[in-house]
Amino acid sequence: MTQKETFTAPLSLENTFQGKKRVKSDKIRMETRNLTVHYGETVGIRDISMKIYNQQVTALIGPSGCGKTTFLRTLNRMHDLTRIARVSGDVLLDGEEIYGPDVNPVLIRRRVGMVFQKPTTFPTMSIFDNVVAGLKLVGIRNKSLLNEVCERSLRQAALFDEVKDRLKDPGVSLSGGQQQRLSIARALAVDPEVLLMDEPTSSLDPQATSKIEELIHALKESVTIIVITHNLQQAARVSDQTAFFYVGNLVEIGETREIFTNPKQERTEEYITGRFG
Amino acid sequence: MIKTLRQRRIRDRIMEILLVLSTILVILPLLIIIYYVVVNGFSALSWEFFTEELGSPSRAIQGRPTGLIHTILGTIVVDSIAVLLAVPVGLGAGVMLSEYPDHKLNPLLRVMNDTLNGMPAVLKGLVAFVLIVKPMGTFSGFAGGVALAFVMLPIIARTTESALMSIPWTIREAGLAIGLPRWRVILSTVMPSAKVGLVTGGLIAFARAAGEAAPLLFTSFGNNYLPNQWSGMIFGPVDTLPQRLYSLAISPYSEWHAMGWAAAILLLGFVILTFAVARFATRSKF
Amino acid sequence: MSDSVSKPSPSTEEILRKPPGILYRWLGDRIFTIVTVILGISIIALAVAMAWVIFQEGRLAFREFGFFGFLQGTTWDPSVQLQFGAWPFLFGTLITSFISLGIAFFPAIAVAIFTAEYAPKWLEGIIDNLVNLIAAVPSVVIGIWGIFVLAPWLRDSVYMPVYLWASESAPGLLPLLGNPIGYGMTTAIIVLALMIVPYTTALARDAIRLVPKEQREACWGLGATRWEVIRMTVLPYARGGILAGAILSLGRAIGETMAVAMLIGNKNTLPFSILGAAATMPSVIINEFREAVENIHLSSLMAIGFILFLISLIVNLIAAWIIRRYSITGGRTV
Repeated sequence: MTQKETFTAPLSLENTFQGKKRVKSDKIRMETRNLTVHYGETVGIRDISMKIYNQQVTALIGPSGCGKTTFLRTLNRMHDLTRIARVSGDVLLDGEEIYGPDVNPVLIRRRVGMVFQKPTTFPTMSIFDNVVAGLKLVGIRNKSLLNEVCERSLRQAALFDEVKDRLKDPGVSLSGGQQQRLSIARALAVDPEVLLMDEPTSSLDPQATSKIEELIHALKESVTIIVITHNLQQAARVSDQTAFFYVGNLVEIGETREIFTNPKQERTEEYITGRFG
Repeated sequence: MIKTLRQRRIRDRIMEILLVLSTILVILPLLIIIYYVVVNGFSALSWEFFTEELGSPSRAIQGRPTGLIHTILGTIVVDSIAVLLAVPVGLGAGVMLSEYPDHKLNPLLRVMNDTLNGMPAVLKGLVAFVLIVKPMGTFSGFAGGVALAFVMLPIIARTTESALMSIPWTIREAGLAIGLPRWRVILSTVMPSAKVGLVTGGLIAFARAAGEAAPLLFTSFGNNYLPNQWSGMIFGPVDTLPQRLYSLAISPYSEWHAMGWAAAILLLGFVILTFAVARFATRSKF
Repeated sequence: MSDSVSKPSPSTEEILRKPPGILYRWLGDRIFTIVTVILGISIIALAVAMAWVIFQEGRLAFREFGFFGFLQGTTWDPSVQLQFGAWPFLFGTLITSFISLGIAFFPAIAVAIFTAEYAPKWLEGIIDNLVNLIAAVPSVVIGIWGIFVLAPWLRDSVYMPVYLWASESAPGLLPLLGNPIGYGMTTAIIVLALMIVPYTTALARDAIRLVPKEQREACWGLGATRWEVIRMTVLPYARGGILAGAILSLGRAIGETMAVAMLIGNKNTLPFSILGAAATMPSVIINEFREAVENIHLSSLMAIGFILFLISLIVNLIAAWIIRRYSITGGRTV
């Protein structure tokens, strides 16, 4: 299964879009306005303005190094940790500027969670401890509450049935795909409003990948999701809205179906048909 | 108890302050030591220091010229003997570990080398006493050199192995491919490439051994005078800086205490200089 | 391929095609391998010889007093009875080493955390070098500073006030405190603590630097504060290196000779007091060896050397085992 679709073979794409419901939501969960990130002298992303809609999945696509990850990291203020990064422009969460002078990034990161490319299981903790790690940070010690949240999060991550009998086992005893779902469960345990996913399936095998895609689909009812992916088919399968990045610019954004069947920009069309990237 | 963000931030701050204080607590004594050594040592350095022998305590007490030239020369002799003995063996062992990685004895060699490395230096002095001083019937510079060689040896072996292993295996294959025998490949292509690492390792081992006093107390023993001939330094008791520093410091004479500081500044300066050169050499690799 | 036409001087081709001298065939390699292996074996032989020699020299004492008798014996009388026992020195070594490790451990880890996680790049380099400098300063130099600067200061600013306070308010404590002349157990412990910091710091710092960026980011992503990131993921991940550093420091403290010998006051009999003079295994060897005349005296000192060797060996083996077992990142050696 190649990652690149030919423009003149919409058949396979049609299959992708067949069962999809068109859900249009007008509520905006996050928004960026003229967002620019500088790394020292170089510009990472330039003047990005886009809206992220509530209870929808937004996919970010584009060739490597075109700013998708840079953009994603502005949404939870991860660039605060990089000394040479400078963020300018606005990022709004529920209408409020997250880079405001009085805003504490720690609080933002609880509302906007993140899942990385490789599973980041804490190796010295059990499965249970991994899931509730975020809760323990704020001092929640109530056993029954922790158990409840753990079960809920693991169910949301479609992992509960596989691990319910061995919650005390070390987190690293799970397979790669399971660990990635564990990372997702951990991120979900703190009940975020938005979940950022940076190529969550690129280090996984096809079965694990499809499990996660199903998961994304189920999750969007409760969490707004933004996912970066190199796999165009995945983007088409999973997302409601797709944004195409190229060399630090937002070239085009729109409903996924439109982007893949009728892109307005030439660059977009070239990327989707596999002429580059 | 639910912790508020404010509580967590306060705790963050407190930890940061504690960490900074601890770092200062650790660094400050070092700076104080260096300060005292430099100030006290510098004032005791003089022309006589570098030209006269120590002699008996009465010399210093009566204000007659006294110095540590014999100590400085003795240190050079003993340290040189140590290098001559330790470098070939250490290099050989390092080559064995790195160039013959499948040799059956290698795991044993590593364990033994690490054991040797972890042994307190005083024990190495005792061994040199039994093996060299007793049969020879006298304390000697040679015995001191042997004792210091025991200290240097495991360090050189380890750093040699490390330096040689950092050379990619392809260099050896390239040498073999043009028809060179293995020994030529090692000597002419691998070792020259690792030159910086090898020399640095030697310098570090040397600096460590040069500062040791314990092994010398039982081997070269010490001498208040300069022996008449060079052979006297090798085959008879000889003075060295670390051992003399110890003797001066615990002696009851304040004049000798002053010279002790001078010996300290010499020794400290020498060791730091050697380490600095070693460090500089590795940095300028880039 | 040209025909071999006889020329006045050999052509390049002929030189290249000439069969190499015997040294370039099997003999050269053979000799080189043999020489190298001999040199390698001599290290093995040396290590074994050392243990053997020390044991042999101490044999007399072990035979006279029995191995465990010697280990537990509390009398050390070189002049009258010629009776020797190692216990005071064993006790002194263990107490000084463990307490100094206890004092040095947290500051050492703190420095490692500070340089690896908090300090800006320029400061990181400076502190790294300063810490390495502590390890580089020869023990005798620290000793002379201790004798003329630290001990008098401790005596005047700490020991004497405490002693005077005790003689007024808690005279029962006086025997426990001992003689506050400045050269004794506490001074030695303080100096030891300073000297062993670099070993824990270096290994801990290396282990902390090995923690992958993603682990930290995962913590940040959960909304952790900086210290929480360190406590939750960095320290647990690095715990193998940290522990190994501590054990290594313990090993150095046990074997540390000169500074301790110069500052510990050299009292060969128990009981030891907090401020008063004491002794350790290395310190008694240094202090008595040059003057020892009787064979049994010398042998007893050698026997102490052997016990020191055993303890040192055990500690180093434990450190190596810990690095292998607990390190998530695999072994690292200093």
